[in-house]
Amino acid sequence: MSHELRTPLNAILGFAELLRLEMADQGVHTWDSDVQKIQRAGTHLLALISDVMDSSKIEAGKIELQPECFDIAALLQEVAAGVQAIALKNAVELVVFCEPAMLYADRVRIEQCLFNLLGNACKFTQDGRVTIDARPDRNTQPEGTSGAAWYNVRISDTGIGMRPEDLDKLFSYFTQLDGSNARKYGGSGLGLAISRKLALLMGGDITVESALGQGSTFTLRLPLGTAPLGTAPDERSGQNDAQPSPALYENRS
Amino acid sequence: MAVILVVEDDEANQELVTRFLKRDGHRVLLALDGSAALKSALEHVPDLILMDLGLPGMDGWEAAQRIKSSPETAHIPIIALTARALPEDVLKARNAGCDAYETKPVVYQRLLKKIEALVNR
Repeated sequence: MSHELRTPLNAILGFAELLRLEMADQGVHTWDSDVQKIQRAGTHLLALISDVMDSSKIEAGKIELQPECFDIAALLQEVAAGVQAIALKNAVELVVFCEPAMLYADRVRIEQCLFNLLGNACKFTQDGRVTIDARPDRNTQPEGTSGAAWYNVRISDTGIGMRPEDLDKLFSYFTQLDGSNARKYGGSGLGLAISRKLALLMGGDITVESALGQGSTFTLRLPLGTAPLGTAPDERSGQNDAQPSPALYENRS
Repeated sequence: MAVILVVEDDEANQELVTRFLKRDGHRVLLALDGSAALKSALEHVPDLILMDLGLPGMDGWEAAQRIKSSPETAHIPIIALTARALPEDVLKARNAGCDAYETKPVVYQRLLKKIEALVNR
């Protein structure tokens, strides 16, 4: 289904790009803004299709998680690099502190959640700062063990924030709090709902603290589960270190 | 200038890829499915193959595998075009012998750079 929807849309986007280039070749710029509107609407539609496909899969219980061993800090660096363009555009300083930890989880789905949260933070902040603070939650250390049970990724922004009464609606499908936001900020209005459902599916959660004009903090909480025996046991040792040495990454735009 | 075999079943996308490649100075050969791609690769020995993976009949993975296992065509670089960058798709493309992959919608600036790098390798 997804493929059937995407193929014609790819042609629309591709020909719009070709049109823009060929007009530029001939020094014609009269219709540049019209072509840009086609491209922007098409890109928006493409994102909507992906999100609608994803949410219907989640609702039908058809998402199959594909867990693997990976370093969450490395993934965070990748995602941070991926949103640099939006951050630069909005004059947002992106600061990343993350402590490495090996997770056994669905890397692709976690990447999707992180892209959504971090993308939102950069989109809804203007001339400000977005901070990622990611580390094992040492308050949740089960008794008699040396490792934490959870890994928290806190994404704080100095952006527009939200009223307390709006926070409840935030994780429902198709709610961008203000209708005009969809036009101003883009996005499907599905991303947060999808991300939270994925987080719950993975045994974690996404929570939010925010106040209007005071920015927002989203926390993605992930279980530091271990891989089943026989799947890359060497790679699991990282999370069980009694005294993990916190490596600090910084990434300023 | 390179001779590039484009394997793509959707007519609009065929024309699109062709126009972008020609604009960049390349010569384009077309094939609509995997078996036509095999035949054309053997007959014309292009400098590079752009292979859509989801094709009717013999799909892109099988075609890539066959091209890479035939001594006459094994050296031809193949760029796979996938609808989504799912890790299993990328892995499957790599196992089939593809040298690189691009996801759709294609970002042409990036694709043209990859083509140049592979052709001049």
